[in-house]
Amino acid sequence: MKKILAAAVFAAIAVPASAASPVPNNFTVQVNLSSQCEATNDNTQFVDFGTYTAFVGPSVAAPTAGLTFRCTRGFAPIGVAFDTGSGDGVIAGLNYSLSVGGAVVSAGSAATPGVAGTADTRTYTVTGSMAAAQAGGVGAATQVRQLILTY
Amino acid sequence: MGASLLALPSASAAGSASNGFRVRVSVADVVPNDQDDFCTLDNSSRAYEAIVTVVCGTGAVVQVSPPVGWRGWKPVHGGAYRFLPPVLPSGVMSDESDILAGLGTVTSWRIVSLKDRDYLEMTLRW
Repeated sequence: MKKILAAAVFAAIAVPASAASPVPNNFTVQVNLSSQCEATNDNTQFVDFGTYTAFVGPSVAAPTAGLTFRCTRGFAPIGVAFDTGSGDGVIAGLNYSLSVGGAVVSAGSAATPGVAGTADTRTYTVTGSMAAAQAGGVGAATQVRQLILTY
Repeated sequence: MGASLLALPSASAAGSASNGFRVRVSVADVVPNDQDDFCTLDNSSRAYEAIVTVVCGTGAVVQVSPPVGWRGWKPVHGGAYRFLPPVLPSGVMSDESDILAGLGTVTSWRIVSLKDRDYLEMTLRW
């Protein structure tokens, strides 16, 4: 009887334990983000001088247009410039000049699981000027220009 | 240990984005359409060396006497004639327009200012 009991106890000890234990398998989530910017109001804005009376001047002395780009969050572009390299131009025989101010940045929101983040927005104000006492002449009264953001 | 997120540095590839906009202006057409812009001349006495009164709605003072040394035109007896010498804004005679002449009915003159030129229209009678 004692032999039988001892064998049972030994057998019980020799059985491997079956307690639950997590086994991790690490992996990496990876993405290569290419930051960039894009215009959000392309070909919608006007720098409108109104009506120019010859030898007098424009009815709107300093018209403005707000040009907006959206960029990857935290991404800082290099700068902006006008398409011809200069803000100067001629429409309807009238010289004009454009200038651009610094960007007004609105920070986007960070992404959270299940919720997409939003972009930073950068708005540049373009201001026009047109000297008085010009005669004017033939030529289109509307001209398409571009503000180019480099990054 | 759990899964890890690997944040690779964002690529800063050179690029550009353009935002087109329009520059616009409207050139005014200035034409005389208000009688107040005209001057009227009254010489009802028709006497030699009479005082002539010029009334201008704009309030501008107009010199009507000939300059010193003015030779004047070759006398023409009778009739009333109209002349439209085109004068550029720079003050010189334009060679792009004809000087129109025709019969006039009253003695008057006016300055017409257009977008690309000014001209003095005169109707003379003596």
